[in-house]
Amino acid sequence: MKILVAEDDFATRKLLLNLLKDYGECDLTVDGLEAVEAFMLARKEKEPYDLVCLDIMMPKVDGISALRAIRDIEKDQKVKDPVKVMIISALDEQQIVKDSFSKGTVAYAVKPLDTDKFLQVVEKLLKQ
Amino acid sequence: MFDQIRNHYYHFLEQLGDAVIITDQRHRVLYMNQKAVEITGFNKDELLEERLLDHLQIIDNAGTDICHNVLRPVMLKKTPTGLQEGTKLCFGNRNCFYSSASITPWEHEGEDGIIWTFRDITRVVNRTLELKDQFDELKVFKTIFDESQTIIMLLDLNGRFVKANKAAELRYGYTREEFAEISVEEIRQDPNVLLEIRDKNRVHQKKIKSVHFTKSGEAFPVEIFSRYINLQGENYLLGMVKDISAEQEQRRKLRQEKKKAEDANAAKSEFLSNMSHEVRTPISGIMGMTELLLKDELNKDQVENLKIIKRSSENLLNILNDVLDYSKIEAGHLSLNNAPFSLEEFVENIRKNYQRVAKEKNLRFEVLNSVQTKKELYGDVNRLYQIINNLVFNAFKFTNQGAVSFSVEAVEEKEKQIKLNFLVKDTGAGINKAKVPELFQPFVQEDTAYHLRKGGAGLGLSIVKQLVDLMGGTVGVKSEKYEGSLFWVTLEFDLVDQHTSVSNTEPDFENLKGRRILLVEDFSINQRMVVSFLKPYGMEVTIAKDGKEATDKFQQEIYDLILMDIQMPVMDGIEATKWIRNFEEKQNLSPTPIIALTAYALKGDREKFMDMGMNSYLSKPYRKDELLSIIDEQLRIDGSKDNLLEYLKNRTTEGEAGVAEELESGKIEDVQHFIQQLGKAMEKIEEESLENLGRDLRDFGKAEKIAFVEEWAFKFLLAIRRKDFTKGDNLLRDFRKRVEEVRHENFSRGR
Repeated sequence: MKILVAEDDFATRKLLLNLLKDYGECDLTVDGLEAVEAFMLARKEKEPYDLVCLDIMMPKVDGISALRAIRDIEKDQKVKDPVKVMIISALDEQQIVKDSFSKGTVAYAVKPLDTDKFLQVVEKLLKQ
Repeated sequence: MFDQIRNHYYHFLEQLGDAVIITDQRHRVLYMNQKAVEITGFNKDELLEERLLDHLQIIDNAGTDICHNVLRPVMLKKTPTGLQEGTKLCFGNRNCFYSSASITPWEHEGEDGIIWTFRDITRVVNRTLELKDQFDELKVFKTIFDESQTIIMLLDLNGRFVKANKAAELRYGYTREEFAEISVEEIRQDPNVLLEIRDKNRVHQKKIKSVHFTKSGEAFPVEIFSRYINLQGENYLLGMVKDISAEQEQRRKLRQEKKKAEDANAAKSEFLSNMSHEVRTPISGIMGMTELLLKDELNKDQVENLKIIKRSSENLLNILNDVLDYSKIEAGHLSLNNAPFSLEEFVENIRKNYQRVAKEKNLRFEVLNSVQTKKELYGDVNRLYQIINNLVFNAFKFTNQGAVSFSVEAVEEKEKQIKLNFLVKDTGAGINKAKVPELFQPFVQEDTAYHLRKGGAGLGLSIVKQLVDLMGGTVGVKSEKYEGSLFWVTLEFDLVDQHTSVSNTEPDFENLKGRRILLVEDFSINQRMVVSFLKPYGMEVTIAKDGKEATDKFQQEIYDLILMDIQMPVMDGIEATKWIRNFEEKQNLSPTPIIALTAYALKGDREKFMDMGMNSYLSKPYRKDELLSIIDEQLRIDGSKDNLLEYLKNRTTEGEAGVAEELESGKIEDVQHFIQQLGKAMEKIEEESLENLGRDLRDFGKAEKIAFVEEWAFKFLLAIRRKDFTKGDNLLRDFRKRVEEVRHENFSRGR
């Protein structure tokens, strides 16, 4: 399994790596731009990600824009199975949550993470 | 012979058109002719031999008899005289008339006297007076016309100025003579203006808004009242023009103020949102790391310390959440998110949540749900959790022995609604009666000292109150010092019928609420349809029935979005859009999204409409959700459309082709320097240096457009970050080898 994480906060990045490394190769990126670049690189190398976890408020490119870019790239390359994208954010306004679902998110986790619940969701997503 | 001649003269005099009276020295009448009989009203026998002055008054226009004054020069100097204008001759009580007269002395054979020749000019005088009146009136109107602050102009149907008043001269900068030379096209630079004036189907009278130009080219907004008038058989256009620059400036200022207020509000909510992010991120870091540490092998003391850190961060987070929630409610940014939920599940979750707390504090937690309904409730369950959690949490906080109880009971159950009472009771410290009323105020805790001991920002109960208010319920408390407290919340919920309860997959278009939409559409059925689509989502729809009306309305109100029909009478959608874009540019306004509604949609139309200043288009007939989605989409686009994808696409490179060409010898040295340093950092696995060097190398590759280097650096970075140092090592070795090869290739090609 390959997982891509985009998170600008160092501690959260470390936490996510620790939580996710047992499920496969977990790549860490520090902003939305890097995330989209990593996504493109993996597609190019024919080793696409199984799960992408995006923070929302990040430098350069925010998570929602990154998500939109990922979906646009998939449309462009006529990808049959779009990658599962999960948002992990400190933002919990209903509007933002709904908005991200409408843009193709499959799960939304609010920080601070309830790690047990988070891992349950990740497992479920990876099994699908 | 002589007699014959005399006889002739006598008859001449008798038939003369002027009245003649001849008097002797003593003013006795010697002769009067027939005309004199007619206009004096006296017969010959009545006046002959009579003293004329006994029967005649000469009245000046002041009403004074001036007979003697008039006669003085005639009598003394023997010179003829006349009457001043406006003088009346009055004969006895009979005839009185305005007169012109000549009063001439005569002398013959030692005798003398006066010849009075006069005529009745009353009709002439009256006519003159009438004309003078008319003239005076005209002068009044002319003054009004000239001095009017309103610009008044009269045009012939060729657009030529017939008249323009001083206000016009002043505002437009043309003199009266210049106005006579120009046509209306000079002041209203609109190619259609002449057609408009000559339009056969013209409206007799109308009021329009436009822009006029002065002689020097200054443009100013005007309001024109115009009507056609007929003067001596010719048609003219009378225009009254009001300069509305000041009004518009005022309106623009208001608009600006409104925008400022809206911006400030937006900034406030953005600040709240940022705040929550900025503070939650480090807290979540603390909590995450603590959790990771707790998974390690630790001694008892260490575990306890970590648990303290964990609990402290949780408290901090709760306080933060309280503050944020409170600010959000204050700012009116908090809205309810209603959905069906199960009451049973809700109560069960509350029970589960506090079991551990109860056990820790050695308290009983009694939960009772006496509500019978099996139906789901419709409401914002998260906010309900927040309310009840706050109350139960408080109850546990202030209770040291005994029990906390939570119960739900139905107060009133109807077919479609249910009113519930949520009760939270404790056997804790209780509250001083005097303090109860201010309990739900922010920042008040019963004993402020609790601040130090119990924690909390003092916002819990005021949030409860605000939320309950928002949900349309009531909250209250009954408490006595040392006797525990009873908090109750009464809320009404809709009951969800199992059959009609469908999962809510339709987007809720929350974003559309309160948006002001200008619908430009001439067809009333379409108007009604669009209104019926948009109203239920809280949008305010204003209707304009053609482009002209749309532009008028647009100047007076601010709209979030415009739905523009294309085919319309008077002014079509394309022209109206052009006008609006032009207006926005002049007024420095940000462009309002315009969606074209058209029955004729062909491939390439989108581009066509975009070129014409529209943002999007929808072809008729359209479905409700299509209309809503396109409005939603347009309202979300904030103008700064990101071109991320474009940026990325431009940078994509294919494979390794041209690596050698990309890496010139000078740059190879730079890259080899990086490789050397990376090698050093790799030996001791200095993660931070590896990260920094990796990023620098990647940036170098980006800046120099060497895709091979950039891509390698990225792969290396990702490997290092996931702590796969073996992979990192391999990558570095391969990279070193490849760069070395390229150096040789370049060398052998003589670079």
